Amino acid sequence: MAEITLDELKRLVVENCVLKIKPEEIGEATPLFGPGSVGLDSLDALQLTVAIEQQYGIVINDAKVAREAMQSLGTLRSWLAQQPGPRVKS
Amino acid sequence: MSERVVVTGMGAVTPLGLDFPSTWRQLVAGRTAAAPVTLFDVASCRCKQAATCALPDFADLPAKTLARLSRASRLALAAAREALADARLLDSRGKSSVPHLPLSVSTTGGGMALGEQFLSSMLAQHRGPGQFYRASRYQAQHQTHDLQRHLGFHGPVTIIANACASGANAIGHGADLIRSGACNCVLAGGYEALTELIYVGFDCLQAMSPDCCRPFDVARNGLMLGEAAAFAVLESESHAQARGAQILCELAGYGHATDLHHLTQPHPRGATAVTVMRRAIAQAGVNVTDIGYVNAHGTGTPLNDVSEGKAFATMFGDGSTIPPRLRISSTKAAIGHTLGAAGSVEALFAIAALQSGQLPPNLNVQQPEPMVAANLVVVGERRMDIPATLTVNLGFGGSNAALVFRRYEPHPRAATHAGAHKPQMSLAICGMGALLPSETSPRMKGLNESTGEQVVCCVDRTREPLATVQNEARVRRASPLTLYMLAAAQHALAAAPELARDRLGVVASFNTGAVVATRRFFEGVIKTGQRFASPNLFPETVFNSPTSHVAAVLGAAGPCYSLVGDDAAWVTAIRVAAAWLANGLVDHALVIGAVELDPIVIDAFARTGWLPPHGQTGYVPSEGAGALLLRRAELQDDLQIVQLADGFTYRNRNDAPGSARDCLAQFPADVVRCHTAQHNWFGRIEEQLPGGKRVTLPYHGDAFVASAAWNTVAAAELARREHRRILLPVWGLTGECSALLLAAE
Repeated sequence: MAEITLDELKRLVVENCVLKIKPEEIGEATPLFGPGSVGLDSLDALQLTVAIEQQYGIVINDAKVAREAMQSLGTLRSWLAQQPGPRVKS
Repeated sequence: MSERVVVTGMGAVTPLGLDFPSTWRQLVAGRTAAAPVTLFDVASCRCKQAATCALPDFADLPAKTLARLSRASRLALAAAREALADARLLDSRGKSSVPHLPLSVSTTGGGMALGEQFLSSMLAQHRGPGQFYRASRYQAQHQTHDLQRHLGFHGPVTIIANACASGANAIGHGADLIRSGACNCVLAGGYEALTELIYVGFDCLQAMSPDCCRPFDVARNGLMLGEAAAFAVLESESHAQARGAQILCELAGYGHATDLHHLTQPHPRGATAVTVMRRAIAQAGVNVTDIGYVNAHGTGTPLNDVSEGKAFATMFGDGSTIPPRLRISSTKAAIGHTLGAAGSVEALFAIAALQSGQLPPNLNVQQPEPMVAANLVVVGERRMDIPATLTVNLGFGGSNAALVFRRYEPHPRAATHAGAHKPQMSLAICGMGALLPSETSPRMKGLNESTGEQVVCCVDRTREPLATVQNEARVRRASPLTLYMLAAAQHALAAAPELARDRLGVVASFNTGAVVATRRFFEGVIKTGQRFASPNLFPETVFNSPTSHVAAVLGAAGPCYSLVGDDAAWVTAIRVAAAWLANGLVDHALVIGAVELDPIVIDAFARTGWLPPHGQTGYVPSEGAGALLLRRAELQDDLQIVQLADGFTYRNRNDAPGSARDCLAQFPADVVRCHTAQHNWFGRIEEQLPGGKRVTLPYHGDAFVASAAWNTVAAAELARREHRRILLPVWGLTGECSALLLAAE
């Protein structure tokens, strides 16, 4: 089963959230939401939920789980790695 | 002092009934119309229910005519006809007995089901018949044409697409028109037909309840969509008295403003909701304690209801509690959130509550939000004697509106104001801006291979001012249209950087609105399925999103309207600004016309037969924006709009010359007239119109309201340069002929 790379997640966030920055400008620990962050909001959180389900077949149903998993790309990557189910890029 | 506005007729089609009396009976009895959606497939959606209407039948219409009416038109037509009949304004043939009847209408989706079918068929590479009908008739102005045609009246049409608050805006604007002296009788209301695009949009935002809509319950988990149409006949008091009309109540107050907090979320304490309620109550001249019932927006979403409850506590209580005598209900658990119709149908509920003393219950509450726990109306509540009622609507994009209805008591002086009283209208132009397409003419393909490639005029988004404008955080996801509007608006505002932004209103006019986002969103639904619809794109498809973004970036906290129509919607927008300025609602108004191009637009153009055969010059689809900053004219103002007028609504190209002549006849004959239609089918008509000297304006392709806006800027510059009066016609290509007279003297 292919591992999800950080670069892949950076591109996913920049493309889905229509960010005006380059993927490499987002660090592994850069907060995605809130002050000093990439600047995402609640609509982006929903968008990422949809994109993750579409790309990796992993469903995020719980808002609390989503908030914890999406603190940074690092936390998202670790959370995704712990999930059972498909990973293959669709 | 302006005249009082009264309500003399009501009509509605809702999921609870095919007319208003049956709706009201079901509503007060505590019925809900929640049911599984069967209008389209919702298999892949998270939610499966909505409140839909039975389709009204029209025994007097031939089957072929009926088959060509969109679902939206059928709902609207039945409700409008009932309102006219209730006002005793319908003759024995089922036509309006008032031939000239201005229309103030709201919707969010128009006939979007036809637009969805057109996009699907273009993507599927269909070439069959029926595509022209779908391409040409989904826009909202076709539903208002259906109303005018089948109910036999004409007059200026204002179509307000302010999302969830529009229905209240349409009724409030009808009252504004009467108060400003523009007319003395208006048919005002809203309609909404449920469509897949909107249903899937709310589903992907996870804004709908998967089980049950519970407004103001602590366990609420989302809204339920619905569809409806509701209309009211509004009149000046003297007009109603002169014809001996039954007066149902007084429409005493209207407040509207824009919540700049976020595109899809309300201010946490409902600050703008308080502002609009205060304005409506102040205009009504009633005491806060006179309001006995409030029809709340109450969508049943976690954020709306708590913010709204706080707003009620601020407005009617001490900031944390609300006196129990004030009764409150959301009626959305019964009929759903009917979007563009919501404010209108809920206004009718507030009027019926005022008249009957019966109150519509707030359903599905087990554990109420503490703030409103003592106030929510329950089923079977005793009748109350109420002096005044209020409705509030808090929409997407921060469009907030409130209406106050008061029991009618005859006014001793009313009869002295008989007849229409058109004021002398003069608007000063204190700033202008145009965002033009670049000079090069690229080609754009349609989605359908048979469309081929067409020459178009496009805006270069890599050049200034757009390169800078798109760095604003608020417009990160916004449509190109938003950027065009913002660039034109900032240019217009540069002339008056110090003006008070809290007293600045924005009126935008659109044809297809944010068509890029709309096409991309629904194309995604078609290609990847409803489950993967984009939550980031959907809010940008809504007509008023660009206007809200512009207001937020500019800090314009006054009212915002997003108007829809053909080219002549630009003139309607100027008229709205004139009414706001005449009524003292704002000090300045920014009027914007904007259009963006997309491949689906090229497909639609190709099927209307407007594009020249490949390789020939002629009609060139274009995009961009123009803006005017307006205020009330004073003596020292050198540049003014001194007159606006329309011709009758024409139904086909044979009627169009008559409408154009009808329009021009209202202006002085000795002014210089601009020639604007040389590249479209109206050009031949324009050449044959009577009149003296003409001038041709620069051509940047045809971009409907955006062209009308650039042309106004160019004509105003000409008037200023040559110190003379310039008449600018705005030939709407789907039914409206308007013109404006510019003067620099």
